[in-house]
Amino acid sequence: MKKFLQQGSLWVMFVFYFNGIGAQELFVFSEPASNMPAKSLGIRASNWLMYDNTNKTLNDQLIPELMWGVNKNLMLHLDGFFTNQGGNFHAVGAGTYAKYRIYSADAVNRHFRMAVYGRLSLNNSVIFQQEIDLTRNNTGYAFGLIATQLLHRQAISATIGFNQAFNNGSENKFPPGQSDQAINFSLSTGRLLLPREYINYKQTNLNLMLELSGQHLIGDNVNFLDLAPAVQFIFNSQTRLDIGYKFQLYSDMQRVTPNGFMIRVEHLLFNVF
Amino acid sequence: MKSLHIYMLVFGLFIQTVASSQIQSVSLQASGLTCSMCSRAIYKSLKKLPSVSKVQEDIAHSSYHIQFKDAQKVSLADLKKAVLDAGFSVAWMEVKANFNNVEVASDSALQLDDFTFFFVDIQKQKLNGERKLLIVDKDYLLEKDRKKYAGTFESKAEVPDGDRIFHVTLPQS
Repeated sequence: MKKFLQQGSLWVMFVFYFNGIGAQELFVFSEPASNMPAKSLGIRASNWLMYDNTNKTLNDQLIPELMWGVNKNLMLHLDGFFTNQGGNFHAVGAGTYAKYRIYSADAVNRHFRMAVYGRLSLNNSVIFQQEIDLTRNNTGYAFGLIATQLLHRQAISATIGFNQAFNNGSENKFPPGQSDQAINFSLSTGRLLLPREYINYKQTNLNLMLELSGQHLIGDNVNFLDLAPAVQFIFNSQTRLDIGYKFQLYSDMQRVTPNGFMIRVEHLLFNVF
Repeated sequence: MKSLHIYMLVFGLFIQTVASSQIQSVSLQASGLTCSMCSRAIYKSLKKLPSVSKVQEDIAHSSYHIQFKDAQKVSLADLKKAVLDAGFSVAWMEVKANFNNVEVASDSALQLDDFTFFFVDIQKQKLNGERKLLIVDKDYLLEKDRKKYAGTFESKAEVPDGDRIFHVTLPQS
């Protein structure tokens, strides 16, 4: 560990700092390799309240999402994108996300899992930044790999993915000369604060999460790195409330809304299908 | 190889005992989870099975005690599938039944309800009172625990019917 610390690796320090504290894997700003239960339906609403550096306004984006556990390995999401950008609140697009679990090694209170994912998004927004964001600003597709290690009460998850952006709808072309391909990566961990001991499903869970996420634009050769702490409540082992704050640690690319809050409510309906 | 046990049954090569008792309950531990949301997913998945009357959960240990409406209709494979569908695995599964002077030994077969249980890795003995049978077949026991028993029966035959015929041992209690 000492050797790595001497190298000043932020990633390794990040893992090291959280090692042994204990965590859960229902991350706020990324997806774990595990899926939701088969035949269940999840209803999610994510509200991003991000500060717009260019216009000095609060950018309010709402993403309602339906999530379906098709079988034990496959889950599908359908999401809609709404924003107050340009004045009134309106729909700007929709997307779909699929995740397929390709590897599981389970033991009591631990697992290592890997999954592949794909996303397809349609968006009508004006493209006003270098950052490619397929959940909020861009039309395009993405695919990648997720690996998650759960060890007793600790979880660490890493994601790497490729993003391809296209022209947005409503004549909003992708800016010429700007990189339309990116590599996204994330490293997430968290800790379970409450309950200390599980007795029944009514107990409220309190989790703290910390996630690093970044992007490298292929061609433009620019990057950003964000850090996002979040607090998560789980009520009745069925309903989630996440409150996270995401802020930029480093960037040499042009971004409009790097900092702000995300508030999410999610409710899981078991055995719907 | 798969039909070897059936073949041996037909030709009476196994000592076969038909027990008069029924399966009373099943206990299992799930693996691969720590959160109560995950635990509840398994609970819900077990609870919706038509043969299941009651599921008592121990969230801290990810274990479930399952009782049935009608023991005749119990499917151990459905219990396993319920855990897998929730996204997790079975760490162990034990079947509880009452016995009255039933003689068993390694390689002997026991008929219980519609199930045939082949014993592995046990001393010749008589079962009395409430006893648990630990299933040692693939996907019913953690691989690292299963390895202890694998050599004792895998060379003879695989499970010919994943739903009705199982290899079991007597857990140390």
